Amino acid sequence: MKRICFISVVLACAFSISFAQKTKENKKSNSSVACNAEEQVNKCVQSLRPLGYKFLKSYKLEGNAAKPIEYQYTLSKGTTYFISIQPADPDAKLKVSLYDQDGRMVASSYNSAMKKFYPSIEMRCQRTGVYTIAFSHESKQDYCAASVLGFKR
Amino acid sequence: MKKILAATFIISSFLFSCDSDPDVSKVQNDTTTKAKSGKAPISPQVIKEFVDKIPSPMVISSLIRDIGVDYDQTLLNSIDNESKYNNDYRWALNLGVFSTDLGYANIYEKSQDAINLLVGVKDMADQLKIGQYFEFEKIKELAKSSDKLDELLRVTEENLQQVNTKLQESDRSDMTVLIITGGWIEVMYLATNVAQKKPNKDLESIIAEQKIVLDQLITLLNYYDSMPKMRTLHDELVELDKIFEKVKVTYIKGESKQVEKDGQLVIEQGEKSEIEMSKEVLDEITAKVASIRNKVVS
Repeated sequence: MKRICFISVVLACAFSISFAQKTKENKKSNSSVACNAEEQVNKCVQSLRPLGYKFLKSYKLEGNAAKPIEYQYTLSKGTTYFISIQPADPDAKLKVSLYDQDGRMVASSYNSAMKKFYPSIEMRCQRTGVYTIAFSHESKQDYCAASVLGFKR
Repeated sequence: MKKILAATFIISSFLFSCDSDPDVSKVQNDTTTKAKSGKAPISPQVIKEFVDKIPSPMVISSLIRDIGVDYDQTLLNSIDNESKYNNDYRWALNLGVFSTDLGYANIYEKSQDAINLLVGVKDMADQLKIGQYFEFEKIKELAKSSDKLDELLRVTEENLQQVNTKLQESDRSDMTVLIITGGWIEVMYLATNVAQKKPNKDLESIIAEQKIVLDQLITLLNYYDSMPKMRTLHDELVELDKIFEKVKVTYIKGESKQVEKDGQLVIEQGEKSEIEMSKEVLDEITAKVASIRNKVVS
């Protein structure tokens, strides 16, 4: 009897692990099919020209709220930078924050006082250095988005 | 046993926290770049992070045009020099050089020059067996239209990103480092020459602050110091860095402010940097950059 119980427990564990893995794989594959970051990049690029910005870099964002997606870039003094974000879901609460080389936040697309999310930030850089561009999401769900960095003198 | 588990957990947490880019995880399973020197091997993740933060030469090329300096074709590398390049080291460096020149020609909307330079980019890329990752026909068509500059810049940037990823995946990250170094040397050559002909405070300031980029390149090249050509290039850049040490940079603290303008969030950065660079130091930088660049292209 003990042996039967033991075998049942082992089988149940094996089944649940395999099921969990399959669910995870399916979820992952569904999310990659659903996320067309290319389309979001195109929308971001189109927003640059009317404002007089030139394209510099694009970021395709597929993530979840658990960890922000971070990139670093060297910004030059005297140059105005524009970072636009375009989530696939227009209601997504996605924000971009900019940190200087000392880790201090210099800009965020979320205004906590007004509880407002902006679709872009514009900053005239006054100090050349390596900055961190961090994207984060308020919801606990996976998200699909794109961001573009543009510049003008 | 507990210690082993704890160590495993710490190491895996560290690796996980480093993986900020979802694309990088795919690369991370590949072999870590071989130790080409006695130093610890450099991972594709570290190279990608370095490469990602190097600024595009387009920012300086754009400034050169914006200060009202005429286009100068004589500053560009000649396609006729191509036949002198006969190894991966030279092909990679000059792929960077031609890419910067292509960007400069595009900014000035010199489509014929851009197409000629594109041939240079293609030839160097083909020699390095990475030509298949460039959409040359598309770039050529975009270069012909003056109103498609943004799309052109985007396609070029995405192609270069793909090339870098493929090079890193195939354990040829040294080529990536050479491409970006070549590109930076060329834009510095353009900027210093223009600054000599038409003194401009903004241009001098952006040249002076390139020490930040130079230090990143030196760190990258240092990983390959067992390769004689990379070592020589590294040493040349270290000599240039010593000249940059004569530039005085002062940082003035201040708080950033955020304001809303026409529905857009505009940031006024509080902290500022101020640069002091004498004409003598600019002359020294100009001469050293020209010396390094001439060795690269001739």
